[in-house]
Amino acid sequence: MLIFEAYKKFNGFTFDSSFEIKDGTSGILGASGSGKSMILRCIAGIIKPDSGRIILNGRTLFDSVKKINLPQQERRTGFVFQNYALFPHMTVAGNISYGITGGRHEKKIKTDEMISSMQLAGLENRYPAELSGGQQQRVALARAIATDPDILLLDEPFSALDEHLRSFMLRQLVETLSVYKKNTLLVSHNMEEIYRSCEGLVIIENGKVSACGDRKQLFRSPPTRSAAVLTGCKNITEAVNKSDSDIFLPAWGITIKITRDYSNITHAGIRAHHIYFPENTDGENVFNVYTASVSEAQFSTTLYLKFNSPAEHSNDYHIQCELDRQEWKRITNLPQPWRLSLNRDEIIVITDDSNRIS
Amino acid sequence: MDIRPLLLSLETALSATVICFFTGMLSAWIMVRYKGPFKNIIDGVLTLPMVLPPTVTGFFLLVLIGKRGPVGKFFHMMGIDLIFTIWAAIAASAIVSFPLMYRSLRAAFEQVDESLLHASRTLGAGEFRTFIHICIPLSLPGIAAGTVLSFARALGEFGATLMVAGNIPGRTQTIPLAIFFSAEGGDMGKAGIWVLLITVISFIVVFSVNYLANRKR
Repeated sequence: MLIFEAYKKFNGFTFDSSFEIKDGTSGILGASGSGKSMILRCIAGIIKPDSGRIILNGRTLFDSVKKINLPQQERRTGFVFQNYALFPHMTVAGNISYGITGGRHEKKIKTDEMISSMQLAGLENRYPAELSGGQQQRVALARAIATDPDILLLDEPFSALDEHLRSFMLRQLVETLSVYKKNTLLVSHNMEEIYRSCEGLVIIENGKVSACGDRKQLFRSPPTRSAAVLTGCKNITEAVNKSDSDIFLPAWGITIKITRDYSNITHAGIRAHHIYFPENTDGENVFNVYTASVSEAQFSTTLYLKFNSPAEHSNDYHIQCELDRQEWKRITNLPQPWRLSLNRDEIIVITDDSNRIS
Repeated sequence: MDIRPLLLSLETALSATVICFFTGMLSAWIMVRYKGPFKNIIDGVLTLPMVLPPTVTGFFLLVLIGKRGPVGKFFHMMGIDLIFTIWAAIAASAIVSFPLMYRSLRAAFEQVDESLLHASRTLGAGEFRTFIHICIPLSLPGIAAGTVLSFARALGEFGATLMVAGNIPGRTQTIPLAIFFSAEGGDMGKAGIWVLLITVISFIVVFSVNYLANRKR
């Protein structure tokens, strides 16, 4: 359990975040420059907030009122830096044993244990420069876990890895974390990484926490417009209440039905994967669309579509939609306008009481 | 030929280098961490002997350790006269070569990746352990270069030494002084030999600084 409240003013940037997370693995999602690494640095004691408090498992690491500010070495945090920060003049074994307390013998046992469990056997005497990116990451993680920290702090752990290594390392990380049962806070700008590895989620924008809670819940119904964008919602627009469960989307020129009546709705959105082209075109939330442009990737196709009238140029579109190959093949030769349908359960609704954090 | 100037030079320069090494290390370590309002002023004072004419440094030192100076008085009461002894020569060389050591070490410490220092601390190491195990090993080329440079500067010290230690053959006459007084006395041959020697030593120094600086880990 981590209670985090911190305020710090920089030149032209105010960091003012508070949240609470339960034990387990949580992710901090934010765009670059949003202040998400700042959270980890405050917890580890690298940055001192102007005011606030940080309480980890009942232990106060920082409290500006009580004038508590534990030095970095007493906070018991395992920090894995974005560039891993391995000591270049020490071998793999030297790096891992650096933070282990106890006698020579204990150090050796613990180091050997970490080396075998992190699949680093045979690399003990190599220097960091002689390791691949994935190996370096495992050493950094082993080094942090070996000190038996109260929380692991991972700062963009995959950003330095090649694309093909990422998903592999991600699975390995999830496995390692489940073995060591360490509370973990992972910072990333990649929503997929966070969704795959974390249960809890904190969304941060411009130095402020905009949402905090269970990741499935937050991905299903993000509370703010930018939380929706950060969790990958590609289509979001202003909405006006019309009657009961009908809302009007002026920019798109359509009226859609949603699950229930919200009195203070401001925006509505739909994920690009939640757009369908049914063969039976009766029913609710079915609209005419015209293609503005098409972008084909190897396994899926992105369509840029405009409601109700033909697009005048390729940027004249309202929504974008992701289709798999098969579906794209099926509809590609149908005459325009196509009939598009939205499922009312999947429409993201944003109301203006979103500043309240659930 | 009298080789005492060579021995005195080495003795003075080595002692001065050892003094600079420890004082430079300490002050560089503190100054890298110190972020207070007087940073630039303190830094300026520590660098000053490098840019001042050596005679000015010598003058200050003379005022300080002369028989009537505060430090000189103290030692005089204990029966020791610093002025015109090898101690004065060592003090002059140390002060003049200190900035080279200090600046080299500070630059070396500053280029150590900050995240490595943070990593060390989050792993439970205190400031001192971080300094000894991370900061120093990663600054070794800079430390070596600074040491060699300040040794060379101490070896060539003339102005300040002459003012506080004088030119007493066998006691305070180092190579640079021997060169000056030999040449002044018309003994160009003797001066030439010392010139040759000090040129060779200096070249070796510059060569080793370049070597140390270019060595990649």
